[in-house]
Amino acid sequence: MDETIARPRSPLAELFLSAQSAAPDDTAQVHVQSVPFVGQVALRGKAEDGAFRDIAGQVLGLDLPLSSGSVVESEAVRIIWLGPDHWLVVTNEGEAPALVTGLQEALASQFTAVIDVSGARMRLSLAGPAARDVLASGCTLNLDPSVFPAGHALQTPVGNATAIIHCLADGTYDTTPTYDLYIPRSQALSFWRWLEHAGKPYGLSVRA
Amino acid sequence: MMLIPCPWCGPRDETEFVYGEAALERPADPHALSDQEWTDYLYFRDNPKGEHTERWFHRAGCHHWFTVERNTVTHVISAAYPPGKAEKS
Repeated sequence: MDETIARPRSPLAELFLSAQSAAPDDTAQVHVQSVPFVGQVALRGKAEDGAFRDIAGQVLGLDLPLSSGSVVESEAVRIIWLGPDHWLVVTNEGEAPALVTGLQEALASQFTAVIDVSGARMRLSLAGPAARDVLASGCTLNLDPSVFPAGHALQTPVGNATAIIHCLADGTYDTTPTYDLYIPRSQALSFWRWLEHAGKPYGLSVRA
Repeated sequence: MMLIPCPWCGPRDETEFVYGEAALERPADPHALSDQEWTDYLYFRDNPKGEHTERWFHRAGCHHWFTVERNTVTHVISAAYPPGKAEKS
């Protein structure tokens, strides 16, 4: 039997980002970090179903967020509201299969779907004083901290991709604006080209 | 450009949505219809100048269909609600 195991490949592998990150630009106003492999689980079920919410909450250790833009987080998982019957559970690389098994077993009697979608999206972390300006140049949402504060996440078109924007720090109280972007794998390369272009006026630096 | 109020996500840019034509009540018993009535239901649409009840799909957001009451002249949206609620025929 062939012992070779197919290794996951970053959708940005051909850009050789590690070479770019070897010489970081300290004057850059935006820093971007590629996180190609993130554990992700799509959880579907009706938000108004109390039994479903209780069981899912017990397995995940957090109550499901129930309104647009909301996110709940623990050390193990991050649960992002994507719709009235749809959540994205983000976890560390390699931890999704166990999470799927746990959820599926616990929810076996419920009308739900639990799917490992770890390969569906990659994560880009965008940070720096101009991070919000770069994002705003390619998206129609109001990203002002008064309506898009830290801990808020929404799915919307950014540049040429349909991204999930998660604000980790909104720039208030002397924090550095920091956003996690979840980009569909198939759109990652063209999104990166857009990001390079959008970030150019501010200086875009690649971080390892 | 319209700002469409998704019942779940709030107002979003028109480009996030897909238009899904008029919101019609599906005949309760399609077998009871004549061919002409079924053809009318499937293919023929009013083209009103004024108030129109229609469906939209939030493609780039929550992936849900909903109903919108829009004035086709002014593009003023007077109501948006989940499907199945208080629909006009």
